[in-house]
Amino acid sequence: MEGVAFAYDDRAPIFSDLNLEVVSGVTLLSGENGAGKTTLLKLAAGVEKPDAGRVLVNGSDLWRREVAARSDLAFVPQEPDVTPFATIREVLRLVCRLRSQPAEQVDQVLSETDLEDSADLSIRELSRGQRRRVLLAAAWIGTPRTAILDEPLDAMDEHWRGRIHGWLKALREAGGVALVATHEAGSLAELADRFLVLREGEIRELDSLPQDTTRRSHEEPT
Amino acid sequence: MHQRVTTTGLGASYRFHLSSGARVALGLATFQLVLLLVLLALQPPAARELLLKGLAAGIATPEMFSAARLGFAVWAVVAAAAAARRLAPAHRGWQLHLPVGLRTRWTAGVLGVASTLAHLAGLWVVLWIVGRVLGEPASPRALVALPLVALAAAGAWTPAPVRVRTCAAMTVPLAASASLPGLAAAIALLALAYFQAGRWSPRSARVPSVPSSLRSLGRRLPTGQLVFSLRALGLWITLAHLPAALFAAPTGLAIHNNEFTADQTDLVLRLGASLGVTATVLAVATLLSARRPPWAWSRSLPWSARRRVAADAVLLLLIASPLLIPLLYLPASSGLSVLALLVFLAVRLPGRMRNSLRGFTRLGAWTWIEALLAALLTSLQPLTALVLGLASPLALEASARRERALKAGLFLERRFNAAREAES
Repeated sequence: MEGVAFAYDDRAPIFSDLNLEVVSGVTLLSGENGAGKTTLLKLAAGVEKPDAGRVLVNGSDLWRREVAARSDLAFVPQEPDVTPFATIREVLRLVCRLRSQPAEQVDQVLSETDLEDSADLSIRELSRGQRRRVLLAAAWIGTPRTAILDEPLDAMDEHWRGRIHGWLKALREAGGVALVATHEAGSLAELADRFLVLREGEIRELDSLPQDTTRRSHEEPT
Repeated sequence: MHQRVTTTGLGASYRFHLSSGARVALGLATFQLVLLLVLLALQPPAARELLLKGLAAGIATPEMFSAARLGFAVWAVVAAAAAARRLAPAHRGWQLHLPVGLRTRWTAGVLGVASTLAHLAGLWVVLWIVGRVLGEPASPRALVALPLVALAAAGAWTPAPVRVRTCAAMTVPLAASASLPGLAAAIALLALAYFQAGRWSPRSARVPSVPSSLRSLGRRLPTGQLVFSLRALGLWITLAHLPAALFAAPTGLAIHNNEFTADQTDLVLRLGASLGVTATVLAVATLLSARRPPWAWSRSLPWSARRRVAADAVLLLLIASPLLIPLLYLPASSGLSVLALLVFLAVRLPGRMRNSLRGFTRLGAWTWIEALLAALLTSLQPLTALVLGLASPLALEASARRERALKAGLFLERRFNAAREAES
């Protein structure tokens, strides 16, 4: 991100001159509620366009070379934002088509995420946890090397937390990039190569995750 | 312990429907009646009288084929589909554990949906009486057909296995025929549906949100976005061409009742077609803007903003495409000018749909003014179409720019979350 500025409408700007480079490995991003973590991830994933500055993914500008920049990118938002007018299979098929993957991958990721029985259900018939698994399934199509995850452990049981951990570990070993915003680092802290904290629209790098965040993850297990 | 009889379950379930989903669905009836009144009011007095007399004669006639009765039957099916969606929550989830049999639950659902067709039934009876008063041949069988049509239309959409819904759907035209064999077959089919309704698993209960033909259409189209948008429009899509009808009828009457020169006829036709096409795409764009939440996450997928707005443009073109058939009867220059107008609006409006955070018309008043001005200019001077044709690629790019600049999070928060809070 280079000189990124962003504001929602006429509200106070969330970022006025944000510069951030995320390199290979797992980068954990923390910050207080309302610090702008989710907005930062949306900017990084191409969901929101910066008012100024630019965001590059693998050297491609997200808003100038839209397809090239997004082709190797997976975004798993905290709020499972999936259109209510599609079934799981249709959403995954769309992702397959856009990432130029064979349609067989749909069945594969459905099986990997235990969603085979729900494949033809409408998104609105799913629980929040299931919706998040749909987004995980979408993220695994075509094995993108850049992953942006917003509170990935939220609404996930132990089994799924383990799967997410395994995915990030594999991504890291393959030289991929993962940017993870979390309040509850838990086992993710072991994987992290870099810790960032977002405060008042600015990024600071830390040697380790702030104590209060890690402690909270142990004291308040969900 | 006192054992409840089944009729108590039926009565209670039916009353529940009446006080919940059916009550909400009656709002749709008001809308339909207002629309009908507006359509009638827009007709010249002579045409209105002719139309009402024709409808009355058509409803009351003892003849087997009656376009009026069939038209009412189609209306009943569409209205029942919309109502069934409002009643759907009572057919799933927590309510399934209540001590009501499956057949009773289905019957209550059918009666609930049928009750929302009261406005249509009332109109049917009034027209039958008018037909009789006017001295037209009036058959009592046409009155017997009415409840059967309503029940069958309701049964076609109430959650049940396909065989039950098919039986009910097949009943509709048979009942609308109002012939003795047709009525007998309709009663037999409804009875069959009733008996079949007790033999299924409620876990599979689902009100189809979209006709299956649209689902299969989605599998063939290159992108899912078109189909998701069609589903967002839902049954409202059946009303998409009504705005065009508002202009088609006066245009036809104006040409029929006046002795225009060829140039004048061409001008009137071009005006009617331009305004009709414009009103239709504006209506569809407004509906889409209101009913389809922005899918923010999809913006992280590898497709361009241009492709996303182009998909919306294709959708608008597809929906408006039936309106192009009458253009074949226009002189080539007029037909092409209306076509150019349609293409321009189809690429312009997707951008406007992405810039409407507030406002009664969703698209913003300026969009309506701009579109109507373009329609008027195209009618008066067909060469305007050349300008519109040349401007279309620029309009597409402008729409793509708006799609990129859309604050998806803010849009969702203001337009949809706020609307949901207001509803609750």
